[in-house]
Amino acid sequence: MATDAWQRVKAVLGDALDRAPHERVAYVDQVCADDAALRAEVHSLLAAHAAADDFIETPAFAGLAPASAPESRDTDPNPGRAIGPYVLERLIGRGGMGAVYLARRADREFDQRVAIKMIRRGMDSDLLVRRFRHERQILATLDHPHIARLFDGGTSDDGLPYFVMEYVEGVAIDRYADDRRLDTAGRLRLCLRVIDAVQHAHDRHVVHRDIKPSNVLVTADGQPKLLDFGIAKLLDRDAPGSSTLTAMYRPMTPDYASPEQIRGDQVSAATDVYALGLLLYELLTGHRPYRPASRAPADIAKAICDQDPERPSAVIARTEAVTDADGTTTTVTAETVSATRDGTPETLRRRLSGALDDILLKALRKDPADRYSTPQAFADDIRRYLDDQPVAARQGALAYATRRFVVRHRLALAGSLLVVLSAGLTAIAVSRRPLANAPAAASAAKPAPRRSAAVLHFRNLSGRQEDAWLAVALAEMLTTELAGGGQIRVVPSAIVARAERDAGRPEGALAPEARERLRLAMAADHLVHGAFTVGAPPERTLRLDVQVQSAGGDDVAVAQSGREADLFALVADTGQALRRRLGLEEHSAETERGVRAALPRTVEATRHYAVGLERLRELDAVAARDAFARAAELDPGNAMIETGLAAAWTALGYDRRAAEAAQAAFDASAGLSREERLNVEGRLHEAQKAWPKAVDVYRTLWGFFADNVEYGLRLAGALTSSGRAKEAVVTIAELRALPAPQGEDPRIELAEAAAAGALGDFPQQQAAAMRAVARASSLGASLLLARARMAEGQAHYSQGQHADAVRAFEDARDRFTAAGDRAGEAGALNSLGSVTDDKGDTRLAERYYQASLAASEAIGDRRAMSAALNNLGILLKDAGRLAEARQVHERALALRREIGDRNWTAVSLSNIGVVLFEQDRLPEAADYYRQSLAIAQEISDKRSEVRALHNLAIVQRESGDMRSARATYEAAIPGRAAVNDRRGGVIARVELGMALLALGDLDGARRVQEEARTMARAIPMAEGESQAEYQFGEIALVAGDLAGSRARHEAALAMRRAQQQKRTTAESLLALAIVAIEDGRHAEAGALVTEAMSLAKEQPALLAQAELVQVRLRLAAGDVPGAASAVTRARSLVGPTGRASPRWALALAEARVAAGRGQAAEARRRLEALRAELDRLGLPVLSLEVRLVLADVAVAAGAPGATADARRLAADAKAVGAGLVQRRAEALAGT
Amino acid sequence: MSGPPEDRELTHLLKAWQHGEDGAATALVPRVYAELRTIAAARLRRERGDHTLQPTALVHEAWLRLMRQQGADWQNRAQFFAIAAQMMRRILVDHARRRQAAKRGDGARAVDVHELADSLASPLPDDRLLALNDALDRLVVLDARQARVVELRFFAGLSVEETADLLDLSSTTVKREWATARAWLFREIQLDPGRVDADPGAA
Repeated sequence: MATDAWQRVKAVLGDALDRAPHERVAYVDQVCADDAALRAEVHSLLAAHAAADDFIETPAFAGLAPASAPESRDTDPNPGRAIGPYVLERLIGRGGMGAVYLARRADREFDQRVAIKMIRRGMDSDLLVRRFRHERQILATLDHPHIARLFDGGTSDDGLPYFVMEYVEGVAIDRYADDRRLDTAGRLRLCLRVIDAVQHAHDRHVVHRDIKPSNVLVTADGQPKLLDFGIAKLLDRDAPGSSTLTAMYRPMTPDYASPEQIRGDQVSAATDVYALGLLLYELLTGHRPYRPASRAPADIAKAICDQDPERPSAVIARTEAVTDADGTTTTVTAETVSATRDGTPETLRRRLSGALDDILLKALRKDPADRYSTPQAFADDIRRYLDDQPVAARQGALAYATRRFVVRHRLALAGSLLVVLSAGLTAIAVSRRPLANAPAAASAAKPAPRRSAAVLHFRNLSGRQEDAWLAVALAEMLTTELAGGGQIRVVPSAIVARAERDAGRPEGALAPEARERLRLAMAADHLVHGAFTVGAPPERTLRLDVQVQSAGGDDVAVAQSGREADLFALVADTGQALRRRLGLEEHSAETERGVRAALPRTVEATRHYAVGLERLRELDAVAARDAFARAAELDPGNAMIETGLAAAWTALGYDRRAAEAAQAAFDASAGLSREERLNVEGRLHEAQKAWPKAVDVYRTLWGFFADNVEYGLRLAGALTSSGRAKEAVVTIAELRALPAPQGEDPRIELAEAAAAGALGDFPQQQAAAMRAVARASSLGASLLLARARMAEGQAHYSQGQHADAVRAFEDARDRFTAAGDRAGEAGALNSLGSVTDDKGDTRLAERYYQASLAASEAIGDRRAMSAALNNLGILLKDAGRLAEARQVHERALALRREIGDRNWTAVSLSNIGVVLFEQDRLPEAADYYRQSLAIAQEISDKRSEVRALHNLAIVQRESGDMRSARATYEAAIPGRAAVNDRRGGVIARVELGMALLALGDLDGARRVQEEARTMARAIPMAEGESQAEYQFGEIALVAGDLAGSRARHEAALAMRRAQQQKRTTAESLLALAIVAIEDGRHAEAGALVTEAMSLAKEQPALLAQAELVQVRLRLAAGDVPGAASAVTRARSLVGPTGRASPRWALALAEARVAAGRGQAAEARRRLEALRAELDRLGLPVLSLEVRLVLADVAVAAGAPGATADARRLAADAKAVGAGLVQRRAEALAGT
Repeated sequence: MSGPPEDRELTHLLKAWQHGEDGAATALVPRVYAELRTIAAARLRRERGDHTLQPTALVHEAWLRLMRQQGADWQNRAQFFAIAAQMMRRILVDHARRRQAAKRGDGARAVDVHELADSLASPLPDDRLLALNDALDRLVVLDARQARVVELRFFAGLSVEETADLLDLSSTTVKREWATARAWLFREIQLDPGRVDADPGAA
């Protein structure tokens, strides 16, 4: 709808809504008297308004009730439900991990009450259960009166992990102490039992990790019980035994987290000591030791890491508002705190001051090494206090204070680790944790940004073409060499190559200024460039001259020479010399091995590998594939070669081959450095489209190498591809935070455009794309600029801005063409075709598609070819060029099969089915739909499956095979609901009802049409409702209820007129004409047919239907010649057809005309043949009608037994409920 | 908390936005989003129970925090609210999408980051919310102001009067825009066209 039109509609609608409800319709009718379209639109909106109830009246975020949140509904197993041998009774708690239920063991004679913790969806269930089994032995040894036992664990029917624990009836320890008004000594004694329990667990090497008041319950008889022992570790994604590649992010309640947990450092026994100290601190003072700037997790985390805990004796003087778990806020003052403890603030202060201050502060030290070494030591000191002996904490306190200044500085550094919190990724505290076997130093503080280097391709000074490969090979090898060990960040060679290409890549040496620009563009501290010469064979002495241009302006030069056969040693020596000059450490033996493993094994394999890389960068994927394949033959099982091969296959559109090569690369990656191995793994997941796994890998890489824009970009891409574009936006924000020029990489804007596009935020997509355009063009990066223009065009296209889209796509195409990127060119042309086709310029669109096809064919890109062909096929079908459409779709299909793209293979099969259907080749169409269906089911593509089912049902119905159609519709209907396609659901029901009517199941037909009508009204879907109404009319006609039929058809007609649907309006008119004929109202029938014909102009199928009604009318009026000429016209209109119902209708009409002409034998022959076909197909309703005509002929001819036959017919009709035929037959039989 | 470079960037962005620089508003979006989340999550933790998280309060607090961080006399409140409303919309929509994806079985992995949205009860089921989101995108094309009214009312929870105040309209106009938009949106999200016989083609 155009904007202006909407303004008019809105004005009328607004005015109508200002009136009383009962006046609205009349008002609209009056205002829109001469604008039927406007009236219909406003009526429809009024209806919507009436049906809308309180739709969106409640703001989106209004409710915060965990129990009614949709997610909780999903995971909340209702009380009464069985979990393993237990039956859940009621919810007793809810937390971050899930919900806790009281449960009873059902299969025991005696009652055993347990607590069952259901872990909420989102945790890795398999991993959890595996870990649980692993840990169960250890947890079973925890037999202590103050530790709640963990009995069992498993997975519920719906896949949620659960743990079965001892049920403890009690209240949280802080609540208990307050309720009982325990004094300081009482609180200390209570806490001692908890500390002893923790020591018991530590003796068995189990750390709790999540001690907090809500995890320590005290029973009515005063026994504390520690809950959830071992659970925190099970739920910790970073626990030993888990994959090192799992996500590095995990939730944590920051309030009770220790500094090391926040920093992501090693968790140890000292972590529990800290938590116990915190627990005791709160018990004794009623306060938390820190004062965060706000309750934001980030601020809390910062306070925990940076602030010194306030002395307990001082903290009690604080006045602050505390909000309890139950939501009530209380103001805590020195008086309230003392009242539940030792009477007055002064007595409490004196009690705490001194030894207890020291004990608590020692337990709460930032550095785990400064705390009590064990819970036992903590408990011992508390006992010494209770026994009035000097405490150990006292002695260390002063020395600690003097060291504190230094420590604080280091902690300030550690604080910067928390940068992710401010990036808003998550509302909960998050720790960025290094890889398991990363250097320990990395865990203390984020390492300073590494220096970075980029290696340009080497200049070939001997100028011989056959040595050209060395230019790339040397750069590649030196890049790998320098990257080894991870001391510096080396810009990936593909990125360097592109930057060089954008700079023009001259034959000779770049001028120093040009090199400086390149260095800055790649954000490299060091730019490595060099030249080589090759001596005469057989020695072929290689001489390398390498120079380094650095940020500080200090240039370094290194020269090496050796035989070509010793290429690897030569490069290693060069690398080592460079490292020495740049002040980097020498490679360890292990790094050396990793570097060597990354490179091809022989000189010859290296040569082919380098040629492959060069071809790939020149976008000649076919040549690249051949070169990589040759390299792989010479050096099978080399990860880098296989990775190159995978890239070439991907460029050629071969998914399966690419995935195979990526798998081979991964299998061979064991010897590589960790970073390289993760890189190879990431590529594998990308090739397999296993996006969540790719996300994990790139998150790891990005987390560890947060200075490498490539990893952030790949993470953002994988997130967008896995439907997590919102998270990609966060990563993009992190990328932007990188120092320039990395943070200004145009690809960041492109990533944002992709994410925004995936989120459906097209204005945002457009804005990001335009920023990318600006940045790419200021860098002179031509291919990036082209990609940015493509993104911009897509944003315009999605917003319906066709002209802008065309301009952007055209510009992109020109740039791709100029850069020699045929794949990009093909994509741009295909997009141009789509826009042009949408605008209705079929001829131009066809040319674009053909050009896209030619471009992708030239480089062998099968996927791009198939896309162009698919779109071309749709265009041809819409233009009625069916034979060509079929041919083109078949080519697309063959390509998609070849490259193993299942999704699109299913689509192509379906599209061919549609063409065949249009060509009336129904059995073939059905065959294609079936193939499409099989694939859709195999790959669980529900939408394709439902589409194929429905299409198949239509073909079956049109072929007259109603029994199969019924079954197929019945299968399709639940699918429509499953994909939430309610309109499709209405259509499928109406059509199922038609099949049921034909099959003689009138009650079933009524029921299904009733469903369809109810659904259509609820949607609301006017055309669905009118179709159901029409079908009710048809059912009533068969049943012989002429008045009812007329009423229903008139209702449908009124709706269809209002919808201004010519075809269906004509159908309704014709249906009413038949009712009128049956009623003997011939003049009225004539008028209806005439109006229908005027609407049916240029629609042969509809005109044929009208002519067939005309036949009935002429015969009823005794005008046999008129009927004969109508039937002739109908026959020429129907033509040869594979569709059953027009064929049958025509045959029946021809038989009637023959009978009318007195050609009884001819009529009987035709009718008997028709009846046989109908009976074979099990279609009683139409068969009865045929028999009625037969009986008519027989009675008119006075045939023997005619009356008896008519009587039999009446009885048969009655059995089905076909009242009309029954009445007519009874009349014939004279009863 | 965020460290010096981030603060500088935020200040810069806010200034740029104030001076109408292209793209500054877009770049601010992640910040506003992060603020909303941080505040909402903190309140959630404090108020877990049967309390109500009012979007209006949330947005106001986010506004104040950004103002404080920036410490400037920056006035473009209406624009801020518009962006905040959009953010609230995205939080919900993104969450609904992910949950649907999870139900389909693709990309169904840990959703810790969605704890906030998890705990918020939306008055619409996921599919309807997503349909509403799409319909709103279409309404923007038809009538951008009206779409903004809907965003402010539904996603930011502003009252008719507050909306009128922000957009500099009369309350009567806002009521009318709201009522007609509701009818239109309701109809739109019921009519989700689904083609039976062909695929949309590969782009």
